[in-house]
Amino acid sequence: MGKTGSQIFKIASALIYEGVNDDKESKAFTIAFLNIHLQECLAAENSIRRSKGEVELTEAPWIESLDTEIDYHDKLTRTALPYACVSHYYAEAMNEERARYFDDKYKDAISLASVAVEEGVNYDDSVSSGTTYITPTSVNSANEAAIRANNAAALAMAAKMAAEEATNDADTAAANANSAYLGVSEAVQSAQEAAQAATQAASEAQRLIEAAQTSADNAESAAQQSAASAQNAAASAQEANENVSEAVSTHNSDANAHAILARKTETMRLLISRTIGAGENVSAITCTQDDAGNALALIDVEMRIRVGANSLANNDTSLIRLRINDVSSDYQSSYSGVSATSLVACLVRNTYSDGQFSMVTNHGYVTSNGFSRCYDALSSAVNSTVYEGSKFTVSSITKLYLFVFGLTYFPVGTVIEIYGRAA
Amino acid sequence: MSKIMDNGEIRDMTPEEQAQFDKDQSAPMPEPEVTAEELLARLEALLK
Repeated sequence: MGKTGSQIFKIASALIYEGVNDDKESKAFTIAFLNIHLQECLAAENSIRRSKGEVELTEAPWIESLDTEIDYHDKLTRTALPYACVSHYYAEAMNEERARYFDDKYKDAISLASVAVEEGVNYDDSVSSGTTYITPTSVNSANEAAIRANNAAALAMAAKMAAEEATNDADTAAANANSAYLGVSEAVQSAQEAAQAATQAASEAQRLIEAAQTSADNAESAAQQSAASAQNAAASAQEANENVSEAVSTHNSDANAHAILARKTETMRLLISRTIGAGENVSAITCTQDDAGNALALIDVEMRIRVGANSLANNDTSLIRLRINDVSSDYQSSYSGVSATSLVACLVRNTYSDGQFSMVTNHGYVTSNGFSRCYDALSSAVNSTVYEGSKFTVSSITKLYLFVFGLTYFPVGTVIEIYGRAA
Repeated sequence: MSKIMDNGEIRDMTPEEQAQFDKDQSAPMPEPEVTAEELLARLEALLK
Protein backbone atom coordinates (compact mmCIF):
# COMPACT_ATOMS: atom_id res chain seq x y z
CA MET A 1 0.00 0.00 0.00
CA GLY A 2 1.07 3.53 -0.55
CA LYS A 3 2.51 5.32 -3.54
CA THR A 4 4.73 8.34 -3.73
CA GLY A 5 3.64 11.56 -5.36
CA SER A 6 6.08 10.86 -8.17
CA GLN A 7 4.47 7.49 -8.87
CA ILE A 8 1.04 9.12 -9.01
CA PHE A 9 2.43 11.80 -11.29
CA LYS A 10 3.96 9.14 -13.51
CA ILE A 11 0.60 7.38 -13.83
CA ALA A 12 -1.13 10.65 -14.60
CA SER A 13 1.48 11.59 -17.22
CA ALA A 14 0.95 8.28 -18.94
CA LEU A 15 -2.76 9.05 -19.21
CA ILE A 16 -2.05 12.16 -21.24
CA TYR A 17 0.74 10.45 -23.22
CA GLU A 18 3.56 12.58 -21.86
CA GLY A 19 6.91 11.66 -20.44
CA VAL A 20 7.42 12.21 -16.76
CA ASN A 21 9.73 15.15 -17.34
CA ASP A 22 7.90 16.61 -20.29
CA ASP A 23 5.75 18.97 -18.33
CA LYS A 24 7.70 20.49 -15.48
CA GLU A 25 5.02 23.07 -14.88
CA SER A 26 2.38 20.38 -14.34
CA LYS A 27 4.77 18.53 -12.06
CA ALA A 28 5.31 21.65 -9.97
CA PHE A 29 1.56 22.00 -9.41
CA THR A 30 0.96 18.32 -8.78
CA ILE A 31 1.91 18.67 -5.10
CA ALA A 32 -0.82 21.26 -4.61
CA PHE A 33 -3.33 19.17 -6.56
CA LEU A 34 -2.54 16.09 -4.55
CA ASN A 35 -2.89 17.92 -1.23
CA ILE A 36 -6.37 19.01 -2.31
CA HIS A 37 -7.46 15.58 -3.39
CA LEU A 38 -5.89 13.86 -0.41
CA GLN A 39 -8.28 15.88 1.69
CA GLU A 40 -11.15 15.04 -0.64
CA CYS A 41 -10.36 11.35 -0.51
CA LEU A 42 -9.93 11.20 3.26
CA ALA A 43 -13.47 9.88 3.81
CA ALA A 44 -13.04 7.21 1.16
CA GLU A 45 -9.67 6.16 2.58
CA ASN A 46 -11.09 5.91 6.08
CA SER A 47 -14.01 3.87 4.73
CA ILE A 48 -11.54 1.39 3.28
CA ARG A 49 -9.59 1.30 6.52
CA ARG A 50 -12.77 0.82 8.52
CA SER A 51 -13.82 -2.03 6.30
CA LYS A 52 -10.46 -3.70 6.88
CA GLY A 53 -10.34 -2.99 10.58
CA GLU A 54 -7.44 -0.64 10.27
CA VAL A 55 -6.87 2.56 12.20
CA GLU A 56 -8.56 5.48 10.57
CA LEU A 57 -6.75 8.71 9.80
CA THR A 58 -7.76 11.76 11.78
CA GLU A 59 -6.63 14.07 8.99
CA ALA A 60 -5.48 13.87 5.44
CA PRO A 61 -1.74 13.58 4.77
CA TRP A 62 0.08 16.74 3.69
CA ILE A 63 3.00 16.37 1.33
CA GLU A 64 5.78 18.83 0.59
CA SER A 65 7.52 16.72 -1.99
CA LEU A 66 6.57 14.22 -4.65
CA ASP A 67 9.01 11.83 -3.04
CA THR A 68 6.76 11.52 0.00
CA GLU A 69 4.91 8.22 0.24
CA ILE A 70 1.16 8.69 0.60
CA ASP A 71 -0.38 6.33 3.09
CA TYR A 72 -3.56 5.72 1.11
CA HIS A 73 -4.80 2.49 -0.39
CA ASP A 74 -4.19 1.64 -4.03
CA LYS A 75 -7.86 2.08 -4.88
CA LEU A 76 -7.24 5.75 -4.45
CA THR A 77 -3.52 6.20 -5.31
CA ARG A 78 -3.69 4.18 -8.55
CA THR A 79 -7.00 5.50 -9.89
CA ALA A 80 -8.75 8.37 -8.21
CA LEU A 81 -5.70 10.55 -7.52
CA PRO A 82 -4.10 10.11 -11.01
CA TYR A 83 -7.50 10.89 -12.60
CA ALA A 84 -7.79 14.00 -10.47
CA CYS A 85 -4.33 15.19 -11.51
CA VAL A 86 -5.06 14.53 -15.18
CA SER A 87 -8.32 16.48 -14.89
CA HIS A 88 -6.34 19.45 -13.57
CA TYR A 89 -3.73 19.16 -16.30
CA TYR A 90 -6.43 19.35 -18.98
CA ALA A 91 -8.13 22.17 -17.17
CA GLU A 92 -4.84 24.07 -17.21
CA ALA A 93 -4.57 23.33 -20.93
CA MET A 94 -8.07 24.76 -21.42
CA ASN A 95 -9.37 21.40 -22.59
CA GLU A 96 -12.59 21.41 -20.68
CA GLU A 97 -13.99 18.29 -22.29
CA ARG A 98 -11.06 16.13 -21.31
CA ALA A 99 -10.91 17.78 -17.92
CA ARG A 100 -14.53 16.95 -17.28
CA TYR A 101 -14.04 13.40 -18.51
CA PHE A 102 -11.26 12.70 -16.04
CA ASP A 103 -13.04 14.54 -13.28
CA ASP A 104 -15.89 12.11 -13.75
CA LYS A 105 -13.43 9.24 -13.71
CA TYR A 106 -12.04 10.64 -10.47
CA LYS A 107 -15.44 10.83 -8.84
CA ASP A 108 -16.31 7.34 -10.07
CA ALA A 109 -13.10 6.00 -8.59
CA ILE A 110 -13.98 7.55 -5.23
CA SER A 111 -17.44 6.07 -5.48
CA LEU A 112 -16.03 2.68 -6.31
CA ALA A 113 -13.74 2.86 -3.33
CA SER A 114 -16.71 3.79 -1.16
CA VAL A 115 -18.79 0.97 -2.61
CA ALA A 116 -16.11 -1.38 -1.62
CA VAL A 117 -16.62 -0.22 1.89
CA GLU A 118 -20.30 -0.86 1.55
CA GLU A 119 -19.63 -4.33 0.25
CA GLY A 120 -16.96 -5.14 2.83
CA VAL A 121 -18.66 -3.80 5.92
CA ASN A 122 -19.96 -6.12 8.59
CA TYR A 123 -23.35 -5.10 9.86
CA ASP A 124 -22.46 -5.44 13.47
CA ASP A 125 -24.31 -3.97 16.39
CA SER A 126 -22.54 -0.70 16.33
CA VAL A 127 -23.41 -0.14 12.74
CA SER A 128 -26.96 -1.23 12.98
CA SER A 129 -27.46 0.64 16.20
CA GLY A 130 -27.03 4.08 14.62
CA THR A 131 -23.46 4.45 13.43
CA THR A 132 -23.47 6.53 10.25
CA TYR A 133 -23.64 4.26 7.28
CA ILE A 134 -21.62 5.54 4.42
CA THR A 135 -23.35 5.40 1.13
CA PRO A 136 -22.06 6.54 -2.25
CA THR A 137 -24.50 9.42 -2.11
CA SER A 138 -23.32 10.69 1.24
CA VAL A 139 -19.70 10.21 0.17
CA ASN A 140 -20.33 12.22 -2.95
CA SER A 141 -21.97 15.01 -0.98
CA ALA A 142 -19.11 15.11 1.45
CA ASN A 143 -16.66 14.98 -1.40
CA GLU A 144 -18.39 17.82 -3.17
CA ALA A 145 -18.10 19.99 -0.07
CA ALA A 146 -14.53 18.94 0.45
CA ILE A 147 -13.75 19.67 -3.18
CA ARG A 148 -15.16 23.15 -2.90
CA ALA A 149 -13.31 23.80 0.32
CA ASN A 150 -10.07 22.48 -1.00
CA ASN A 151 -10.48 24.31 -4.28
CA ALA A 152 -10.82 27.47 -2.28
CA ALA A 153 -7.73 26.53 -0.29
CA ALA A 154 -5.82 25.79 -3.49
CA LEU A 155 -6.85 29.10 -4.95
CA ALA A 156 -5.76 30.84 -1.77
CA MET A 157 -2.42 29.03 -1.90
CA ALA A 158 -2.01 29.89 -5.56
CA ALA A 159 -2.85 33.50 -4.78
CA LYS A 160 -0.33 33.49 -1.93
CA MET A 161 2.36 32.03 -4.19
CA ALA A 162 1.53 34.56 -6.86
CA ALA A 163 1.69 37.35 -4.29
CA GLU A 164 5.04 36.09 -3.01
CA GLU A 165 6.36 35.85 -6.55
CA ALA A 166 5.07 39.34 -7.30
CA THR A 167 6.72 40.60 -4.11
CA ASN A 168 10.01 39.00 -5.13
CA ASP A 169 9.71 40.51 -8.58
CA ALA A 170 8.95 43.90 -7.07
CA ASP A 171 11.96 43.62 -4.73
CA THR A 172 14.17 42.67 -7.64
CA ALA A 173 12.81 45.53 -9.72
CA ALA A 174 13.34 47.96 -6.84
CA ALA A 175 16.90 46.72 -6.35
CA ASN A 176 17.57 47.10 -10.07
CA ALA A 177 16.05 50.57 -10.07
CA ASN A 178 18.11 51.57 -7.05
CA SER A 179 21.26 50.22 -8.66
CA ALA A 180 20.47 52.11 -11.83
CA TYR A 181 19.82 55.27 -9.84
CA LEU A 182 23.15 54.94 -8.06
CA GLY A 183 24.86 54.40 -11.40
CA VAL A 184 23.23 57.49 -12.82
CA SER A 185 24.14 59.49 -9.71
CA GLU A 186 27.75 58.42 -9.97
CA ALA A 187 27.78 59.31 -13.64
CA VAL A 188 26.28 62.73 -12.93
CA GLN A 189 28.78 63.34 -10.15
CA SER A 190 31.66 62.28 -12.39
CA ALA A 191 30.38 64.55 -15.13
CA GLN A 192 30.12 67.44 -12.68
CA GLU A 193 33.64 66.83 -11.41
CA ALA A 194 34.94 66.61 -14.95
CA ALA A 195 33.16 69.84 -15.85
CA GLN A 196 34.58 71.58 -12.79
CA ALA A 197 38.09 70.34 -13.58
CA ALA A 198 37.69 71.49 -17.17
CA THR A 199 36.53 74.91 -16.00
CA GLN A 200 39.50 75.24 -13.66
CA ALA A 201 41.87 74.11 -16.38
CA ALA A 202 40.36 76.62 -18.78
CA SER A 203 40.65 79.37 -16.16
CA GLU A 204 44.26 78.47 -15.45
CA ALA A 205 45.02 78.37 -19.16
CA GLN A 206 43.41 81.79 -19.60
CA ARG A 207 45.42 83.15 -16.69
CA LEU A 208 48.63 81.78 -18.17
CA ILE A 209 47.79 83.23 -21.55
CA GLU A 210 47.14 86.64 -20.00
CA ALA A 211 50.31 86.41 -17.93
CA ALA A 212 52.27 85.39 -21.00
CA GLN A 213 50.76 88.25 -22.97
CA THR A 214 51.63 90.70 -20.20
CA SER A 215 55.14 89.36 -19.95
CA ALA A 216 55.54 89.50 -23.68
CA ASP A 217 54.38 93.12 -23.68
CA ASN A 218 56.80 93.96 -20.87
CA ALA A 219 59.60 92.15 -22.61
CA GLU A 220 58.91 94.00 -25.81
CA SER A 221 58.86 97.32 -24.00
CA ALA A 222 62.05 96.51 -22.12
CA ALA A 223 63.70 95.37 -25.30
CA GLN A 224 62.73 98.61 -27.00
CA GLN A 225 64.15 100.60 -24.10
CA SER A 226 67.31 98.57 -24.11
CA ALA A 227 67.65 99.10 -27.82
CA ALA A 228 67.16 102.82 -27.37
CA SER A 229 69.74 102.91 -24.57
CA ALA A 230 72.17 100.94 -26.66
CA GLN A 231 71.61 103.29 -29.54
CA ASN A 232 72.23 106.30 -27.29
CA ALA A 233 75.35 104.69 -25.91
CA ALA A 234 76.59 103.98 -29.39
CA ALA A 235 75.91 107.58 -30.39
CA SER A 236 77.76 108.83 -27.33
CA ALA A 237 80.68 106.58 -28.02
CA GLN A 238 80.75 107.73 -31.60
CA GLU A 239 80.67 111.34 -30.51
CA ALA A 240 83.45 110.81 -27.98
CA ASN A 241 85.54 109.07 -30.56
CA GLU A 242 85.01 111.91 -32.97
CA ASN A 243 85.95 114.43 -30.30
CA VAL A 244 89.12 112.58 -29.48
CA SER A 245 90.01 112.23 -33.11
CA GLU A 246 89.40 115.91 -33.62
CA ALA A 247 91.49 116.84 -30.61
CA VAL A 248 94.34 114.62 -31.64
CA SER A 249 94.36 116.04 -35.10
CA THR A 250 94.47 119.63 -33.96
CA HIS A 251 96.24 119.44 -30.61
CA ASN A 252 99.19 121.55 -31.65
CA SER A 253 97.12 124.46 -32.84
CA ASP A 254 93.91 124.32 -30.80
CA ALA A 255 94.19 124.99 -27.06
CA ASN A 256 90.57 124.04 -26.53
CA ALA A 257 91.24 120.70 -28.08
CA HIS A 258 94.00 120.24 -25.58
CA ALA A 259 91.58 120.86 -22.75
CA ILE A 260 89.03 118.42 -24.15
CA LEU A 261 91.64 115.78 -24.57
CA ALA A 262 92.91 116.30 -21.05
CA ARG A 263 89.42 115.94 -19.60
CA LYS A 264 88.68 112.79 -21.53
CA THR A 265 91.83 111.08 -20.43
CA GLU A 266 92.09 112.40 -16.89
CA THR A 267 92.21 109.76 -14.21
CA MET A 268 89.52 109.86 -11.59
CA ARG A 269 90.93 111.12 -8.32
CA LEU A 270 89.88 110.20 -4.80
CA LEU A 271 88.22 113.30 -3.46
CA ILE A 272 86.31 112.18 -0.40
CA SER A 273 86.83 109.33 2.02
CA ARG A 274 84.60 108.60 5.00
CA THR A 275 84.66 105.79 7.53
CA ILE A 276 81.92 105.37 10.08
CA GLY A 277 83.44 104.82 13.48
CA ALA A 278 82.04 103.17 16.59
CA GLY A 279 79.57 105.31 18.49
CA GLU A 280 79.21 107.92 15.79
CA ASN A 281 75.63 106.90 15.06
CA VAL A 282 75.47 108.78 11.78
CA SER A 283 72.26 108.49 9.78
CA ALA A 284 73.19 110.67 6.79
CA ILE A 285 76.27 112.01 5.07
CA THR A 286 76.39 115.13 3.01
CA CYS A 287 79.28 116.28 0.88
CA THR A 288 79.54 119.65 -0.83
CA GLN A 289 83.36 119.82 -0.87
CA ASP A 290 86.18 117.40 -1.18
CA ASP A 291 88.54 116.53 1.62
CA ALA A 292 90.86 119.32 0.45
CA GLY A 293 88.11 121.87 1.03
CA ASN A 294 87.35 122.53 -2.63
CA ALA A 295 83.70 122.92 -3.57
CA LEU A 296 82.45 120.03 -5.63
CA ALA A 297 81.84 120.71 -9.30
CA LEU A 298 82.17 117.29 -10.84
CA ILE A 299 81.18 115.93 -14.19
CA ASP A 300 82.09 112.33 -13.39
CA VAL A 301 81.69 110.64 -10.05
CA GLU A 302 82.47 107.15 -8.97
CA MET A 303 81.38 106.02 -5.55
CA ARG A 304 82.55 102.99 -3.68
CA ILE A 305 80.75 101.82 -0.56
CA ARG A 306 81.97 99.00 1.59
CA VAL A 307 79.94 97.69 4.45
CA GLY A 308 81.78 95.80 7.13
CA ALA A 309 81.42 92.08 7.11
CA ASN A 310 80.49 91.90 10.77
CA SER A 311 78.25 94.93 10.86
CA LEU A 312 75.03 93.18 9.98
CA ALA A 313 73.55 89.79 10.51
CA ASN A 314 73.75 87.47 7.58
CA ASN A 315 70.97 88.05 5.03
CA ASP A 316 69.99 91.35 6.60
CA THR A 317 69.25 93.95 3.99
CA SER A 318 70.45 97.50 4.32
CA LEU A 319 69.91 100.27 1.86
CA ILE A 320 72.16 103.26 1.38
CA ARG A 321 70.54 105.79 -0.87
CA LEU A 322 71.97 108.70 -2.75
CA ARG A 323 70.51 112.00 -3.79
CA ILE A 324 72.34 114.51 -5.98
CA ASN A 325 72.14 118.30 -5.71
CA ASP A 326 69.03 118.11 -3.51
CA VAL A 327 66.94 117.58 -6.56
CA SER A 328 63.52 116.19 -5.93
CA SER A 329 62.95 113.74 -3.16
CA ASP A 330 59.99 112.22 -4.90
CA TYR A 331 60.95 108.57 -5.18
CA GLN A 332 58.09 107.59 -7.36
CA SER A 333 58.84 110.12 -10.04
CA SER A 334 62.51 109.33 -9.75
CA TYR A 335 61.73 105.75 -10.48
CA SER A 336 59.18 106.43 -13.16
CA GLY A 337 61.52 106.53 -16.08
CA VAL A 338 63.47 108.57 -18.55
CA SER A 339 62.05 111.98 -17.75
CA ALA A 340 62.38 111.72 -13.99
CA THR A 341 63.79 114.74 -12.23
CA SER A 342 66.03 113.15 -9.67
CA LEU A 343 68.35 110.29 -9.18
CA VAL A 344 67.98 107.92 -6.33
CA ALA A 345 70.40 105.08 -6.26
CA CYS A 346 69.93 102.23 -3.90
CA LEU A 347 72.61 99.97 -2.64
CA VAL A 348 71.29 96.82 -1.24
CA ARG A 349 73.50 94.68 0.83
CA ASN A 350 72.50 91.15 1.37
CA THR A 351 75.63 89.73 2.84
CA TYR A 352 79.23 90.79 3.03
CA SER A 353 79.82 92.82 -0.04
CA ASP A 354 80.90 96.09 -1.48
CA GLY A 355 79.18 98.14 -4.09
CA GLN A 356 80.17 100.88 -6.40
CA PHE A 357 78.61 102.86 -9.18
CA SER A 358 79.55 105.79 -11.28
CA MET A 359 77.68 108.87 -12.46
CA VAL A 360 78.56 110.96 -15.44
CA THR A 361 77.13 114.20 -16.65
CA ASN A 362 76.53 114.01 -20.32
CA HIS A 363 74.93 116.79 -22.33
CA GLY A 364 73.48 118.24 -19.17
CA TYR A 365 72.17 114.97 -17.79
CA VAL A 366 73.53 112.84 -15.06
CA THR A 367 73.52 109.26 -16.12
CA SER A 368 74.23 106.25 -14.06
CA ASN A 369 73.81 103.25 -16.22
CA GLY A 370 76.62 101.27 -14.80
CA PHE A 371 76.86 99.65 -11.44
CA SER A 372 79.54 97.37 -10.23
CA ARG A 373 79.40 94.81 -7.55
CA CYS A 374 82.54 93.90 -5.74
CA TYR A 375 82.81 90.44 -4.38
CA ASP A 376 84.41 89.20 -1.24
CA ALA A 377 85.48 85.70 -0.58
CA LEU A 378 82.14 84.60 0.74
CA SER A 379 79.26 85.83 -1.31
CA SER A 380 77.99 88.50 -3.61
CA ALA A 381 75.56 91.33 -3.35
CA VAL A 382 72.63 89.82 -5.13
CA ASN A 383 70.14 92.65 -5.05
CA SER A 384 72.38 95.56 -5.89
CA THR A 385 70.95 97.82 -8.51
CA VAL A 386 70.62 101.39 -9.61
CA TYR A 387 67.13 102.25 -10.58
CA GLU A 388 65.89 104.06 -13.57
CA GLY A 389 65.16 107.73 -13.42
CA SER A 390 68.79 108.59 -13.63
CA LYS A 391 68.47 111.58 -15.92
CA PHE A 392 67.97 115.07 -14.74
CA THR A 393 69.47 118.33 -15.78
CA VAL A 394 72.54 119.49 -13.93
CA SER A 395 75.65 121.05 -15.30
CA SER A 396 77.76 119.42 -12.61
CA ILE A 397 77.42 117.51 -9.38
CA THR A 398 77.83 119.90 -6.48
CA LYS A 399 76.29 117.99 -3.60
CA LEU A 400 76.07 114.34 -2.66
CA TYR A 401 73.66 113.26 0.06
CA LEU A 402 73.79 109.69 1.35
CA PHE A 403 71.39 108.31 3.90
CA VAL A 404 70.40 104.97 5.30
CA PHE A 405 67.06 103.39 4.62
CA GLY A 406 65.67 100.75 6.89
CA LEU A 407 68.52 101.22 9.30
CA THR A 408 68.96 103.67 12.14
CA TYR A 409 72.62 104.39 11.45
CA PHE A 410 75.30 103.61 8.95
CA PRO A 411 76.84 100.32 10.07
CA VAL A 412 80.05 100.78 12.00
CA GLY A 413 82.98 100.24 9.68
CA THR A 414 81.20 101.46 6.56
CA VAL A 415 83.70 103.02 4.17
CA ILE A 416 82.59 105.51 1.55
CA GLU A 417 85.01 106.68 -1.11
CA ILE A 418 84.06 109.22 -3.75
CA TYR A 419 86.19 109.60 -6.84
CA GLY A 420 85.58 112.43 -9.21
CA ARG A 421 86.70 114.54 -12.06
CA ALA A 422 86.05 118.22 -12.38
CA ALA A 423 84.86 119.94 -15.52
CA MET B 1 67.53 113.95 16.71
CA SER B 2 69.53 112.01 14.11
CA LYS B 3 73.11 112.84 13.30
CA ILE B 4 74.56 113.81 9.95
CA MET B 5 78.16 113.83 8.79
CA ASP B 6 78.40 117.17 7.04
CA ASN B 7 81.63 117.40 5.06
CA GLY B 8 83.30 115.21 7.64
CA GLU B 9 81.84 116.94 10.68
CA ILE B 10 79.25 115.10 12.74
CA ARG B 11 76.38 117.17 14.02
CA ASP B 12 72.70 116.97 14.80
CA MET B 13 70.39 117.38 11.87
CA THR B 14 68.55 120.63 11.51
CA PRO B 15 64.76 120.36 11.81
CA GLU B 16 64.52 120.64 8.05
CA GLU B 17 67.09 117.91 7.54
CA GLN B 18 65.38 115.73 10.13
CA ALA B 19 62.02 116.25 8.46
CA GLN B 20 63.48 115.31 5.10
CA PHE B 21 65.19 112.27 6.59
CA ASP B 22 61.95 111.12 8.24
CA LYS B 23 60.08 111.66 5.01
CA ASP B 24 62.64 109.57 3.16
CA GLN B 25 62.18 106.75 5.64
CA SER B 26 58.46 106.62 4.96
CA ALA B 27 58.87 106.63 1.22
CA PRO B 28 57.92 103.41 -0.48
CA MET B 29 60.59 101.03 -1.62
CA PRO B 30 61.17 101.45 -5.35
CA GLU B 31 60.36 98.41 -7.37
CA PRO B 32 63.47 96.81 -8.79
CA GLU B 33 63.88 97.16 -12.48
CA VAL B 34 62.94 94.03 -14.42
CA THR B 35 65.29 93.32 -17.26
CA ALA B 36 64.21 91.93 -20.60
CA GLU B 37 66.13 88.75 -19.86
CA GLU B 38 64.21 88.28 -16.62
CA LEU B 39 60.91 88.85 -18.38
CA LEU B 40 61.79 86.33 -21.06
CA ALA B 41 62.78 83.84 -18.39
CA ARG B 42 59.44 84.34 -16.67
CA LEU B 43 57.63 83.92 -19.95
CA GLU B 44 59.47 80.71 -20.68
CA ALA B 45 58.60 79.44 -17.22
CA LEU B 46 54.92 80.21 -17.83
CA LEU B 47 54.89 78.45 -21.15
CA LYS B 48 56.43 75.26 -19.74
